[in-house]
Amino acid sequence: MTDALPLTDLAFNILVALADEDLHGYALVKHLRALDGRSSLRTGTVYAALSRLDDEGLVSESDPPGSEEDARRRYYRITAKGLGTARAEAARLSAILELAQRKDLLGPARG
Amino acid sequence: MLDVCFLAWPARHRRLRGRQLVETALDLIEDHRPEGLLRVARELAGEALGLLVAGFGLRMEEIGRGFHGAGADLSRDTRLAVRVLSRRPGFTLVASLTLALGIGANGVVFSWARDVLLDTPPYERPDELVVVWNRLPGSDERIPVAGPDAAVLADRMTSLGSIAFSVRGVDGSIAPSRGAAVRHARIAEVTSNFFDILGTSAALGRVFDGGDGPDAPGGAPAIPPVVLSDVAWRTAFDADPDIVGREVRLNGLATHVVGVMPADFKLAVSPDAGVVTDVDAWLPLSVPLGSLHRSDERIIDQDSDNTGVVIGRLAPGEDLARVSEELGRIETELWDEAPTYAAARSPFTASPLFDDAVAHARPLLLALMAGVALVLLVACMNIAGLLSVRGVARAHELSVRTALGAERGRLVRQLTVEGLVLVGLGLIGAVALAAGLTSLLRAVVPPTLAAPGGMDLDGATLLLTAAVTGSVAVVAGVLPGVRSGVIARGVLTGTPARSGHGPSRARGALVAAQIALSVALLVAAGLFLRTVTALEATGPGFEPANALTFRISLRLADEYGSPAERARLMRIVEDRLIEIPGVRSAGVVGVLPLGGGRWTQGYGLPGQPEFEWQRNRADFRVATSGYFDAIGTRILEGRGFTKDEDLNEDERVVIVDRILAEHVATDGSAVGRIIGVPVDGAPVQARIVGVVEHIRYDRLERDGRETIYVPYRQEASREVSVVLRTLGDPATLAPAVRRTMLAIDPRIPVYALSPLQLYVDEAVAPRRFALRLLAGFALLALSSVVVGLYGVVALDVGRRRSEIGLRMAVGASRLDVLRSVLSWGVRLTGKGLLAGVGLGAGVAYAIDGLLFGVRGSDPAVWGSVIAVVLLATLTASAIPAVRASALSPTEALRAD
Repeated sequence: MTDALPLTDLAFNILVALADEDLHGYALVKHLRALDGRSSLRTGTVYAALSRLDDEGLVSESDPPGSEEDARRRYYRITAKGLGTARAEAARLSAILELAQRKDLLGPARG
Repeated sequence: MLDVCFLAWPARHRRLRGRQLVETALDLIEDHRPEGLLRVARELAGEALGLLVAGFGLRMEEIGRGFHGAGADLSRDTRLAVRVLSRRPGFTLVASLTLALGIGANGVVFSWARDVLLDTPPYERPDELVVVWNRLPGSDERIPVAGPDAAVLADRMTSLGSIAFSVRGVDGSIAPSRGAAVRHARIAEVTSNFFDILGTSAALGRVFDGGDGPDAPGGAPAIPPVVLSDVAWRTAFDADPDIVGREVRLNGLATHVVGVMPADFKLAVSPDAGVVTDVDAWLPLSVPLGSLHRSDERIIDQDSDNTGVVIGRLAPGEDLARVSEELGRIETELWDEAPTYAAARSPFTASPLFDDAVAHARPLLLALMAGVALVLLVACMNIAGLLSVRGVARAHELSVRTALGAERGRLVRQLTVEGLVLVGLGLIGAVALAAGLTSLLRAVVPPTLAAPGGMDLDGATLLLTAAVTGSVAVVAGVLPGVRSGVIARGVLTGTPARSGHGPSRARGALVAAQIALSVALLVAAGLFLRTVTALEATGPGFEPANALTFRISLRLADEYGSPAERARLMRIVEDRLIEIPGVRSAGVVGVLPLGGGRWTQGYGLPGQPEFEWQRNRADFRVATSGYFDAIGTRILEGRGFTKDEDLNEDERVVIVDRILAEHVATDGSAVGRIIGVPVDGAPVQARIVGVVEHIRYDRLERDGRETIYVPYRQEASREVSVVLRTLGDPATLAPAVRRTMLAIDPRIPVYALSPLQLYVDEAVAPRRFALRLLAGFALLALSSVVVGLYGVVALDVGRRRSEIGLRMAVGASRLDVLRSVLSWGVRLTGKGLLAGVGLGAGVAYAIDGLLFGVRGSDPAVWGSVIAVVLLATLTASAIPAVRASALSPTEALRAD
């Protein structure tokens, strides 16, 4: 559906993170760092990936949800196109995983 | 800093993302603040690098998008750049050499500093590890923690999840089997959880577990298990792959090997804390920590062995502040429970394990890092100056090309490629240079400044410095091209390509700034030179030349068990050694001057009650009658120890040093007075029989503590140093000494056999090392000043050719021309010197703590620095000035 596939790990992780909630940069970096335990993931790297996703129209900036949050902070929201891309990527990965499972690459070996 | 790095991003992305990005990064860095400043700095550097790399990536994409099929252009530009550069070999050589030196030196020094300051040994989550020391009240001196205190800490601390203890280590012997030749080995006893707390595992076999300690069901194992270091495994056992399970002899007793540690494992603690770090063999403590002071059934058994280092791992959610708070509380509890503690009042202090381990090296390293950063700054300025001079020279070519319709973008791209080719050349040189410098550094770096995990050149560091210098080079190279659009109009209207004074003033400022930086570096180097010479000239209280020393360890299980036996052995050792031709006298002492060990206790002034003893602390040293003569220390009053006192103990006598004598006897002589000294924890009265000159045992640059000498017979330590006063070169006697000791008893390991002078040399080594580096940096900076100044003056002359010709034509003498050209160089030098004096004063202030025997305002240093800079700059500007004055007017006028 889009020429963005396959996504880089980081891009996919960002889309997944934004799938159900809008996040600002700080929370997003924290989230991504927690996700794969890489405390060395750099802000610049994340924002560069955001920039690329923005260029391709997969994410957009949004207003902070509600008024309780710091209005200075800019939030990122997944676009409809982004959601579609993430679904397509998830389907692609899931197909690979299914194959891997059939070949006994997942979980402890049986027998 | 982050803002600057953010500039690496393409403008479009910068606008879109805004400062939001930088603020997020700052917030993330802020999260690390509780972990200390070093961690914050590391994060900051990481974020900055991340920004640069990401920005570079985005830029490449933009460029890729903009230049579809630009590959052909690029290769054409590169070919053109190579041709242009090879047409000017002198310029190309100087520019790429400057780049190579700046990048190479920085790459090496920063890699090394990074290795020392940031490379933690392979522990698990090293940030959670905490080391606990006792600290002498009113001083920054660390003292090891006593075993029973460690037991109390292990019992009562909640902020530390678990606590391990390592006895500070002793020198002993290791042998593959009974009767085999022994080797010297450093042995440390550790609690069985020691390796677990650090989170390290063995390379071969296993580390200790609960079954190895005294708490194991059935008590400690009968044959103690031992874990060997990689070095011991390789040297004593030829890296035997089947070592695990074998029996080896430690201090003559049977043990069996359970594991071998990896090569990069060592306990990272500060080298000035009196704890052995290069341990060859670890044994599990066979008794509970709390009973350590009573035990004498161990392989290591000496009263002073019962102190060591406490290492803990932070419990989840706890931090260092909580640990310190808790330590303070336990301290007070201890003082309440035991009045003797209250008298000593040496508080506990906790610090991050690794921070503490490198604290001693930090000031000097920071000074060197600052120094090399200045070199990089000078190199950048120099390259900017060179390229801009060159840009002016090419302004005509560029403006003609612009006028002929070359696109501005095309020119900029070509100039960029030229700059990059130059940086590439510099980088190649830098890599070669850095490789050479690294191996040189490895060879000469003093052990206290060496990185624990070895030293490696860090490619990322090298690339980062190259990127910084490279961007300067590209910008400086491209600017003339950008300006060529403006100049083009000038060419068309016939005005020569000499465009105002602005850029030439900028170039002048660059040179002046380089002069200022060189002054600062030269001042630092000069002050270190004075420090090193002052240290070498210091009277340490003994005579380092013509003396040979070595150490022996008497820890055999079945012999030399009593002080009387050990004293008799010392007599035999001295008597036999003195028979070696070339040996004038021989003596024995517990620990050598500048040898690292110390034994500090409180003592009682005449009439002082015992609970006040801890207020006067002295270094205690055992010595035989021959010691003072052998080490070359004068007896000022009274007498030395007698041969009889070496063997028999009739009366408690001591000899004190000059400083203690002045303390004890404010009027009259100290000889004959009685002071109180602790013997095995009990107070005894001892008579002062002599006063000797003070020896600087601890550090060359300061007097250190008062010293009390007791006859070796009275406290017969199991580790002793032997000192031989020799007639000629002491090193030549080493083989004879080894043979003699082997004949006396082959089971006694002889180690650290070296001239006494070596200890003094090693004490000066870190500063001497810093001096060499700084002198190198200063020289680099000064030579680039000479090149830079020559460049701008020559350019100035070139541009004023017609003016000079005109002046000469209307009657100006050669001297007038010389003066007018020189004056511009002199003015620049003056400005540079003025700024340099300010900068140098700041540098002198900053490194004040590292200096010895010289003040930051030392007139000799400043005088010679200014003289050297003046000489160098005058020479640099005189050459083009003389050339200008030699021009013939007609020739000069024809130039335009």
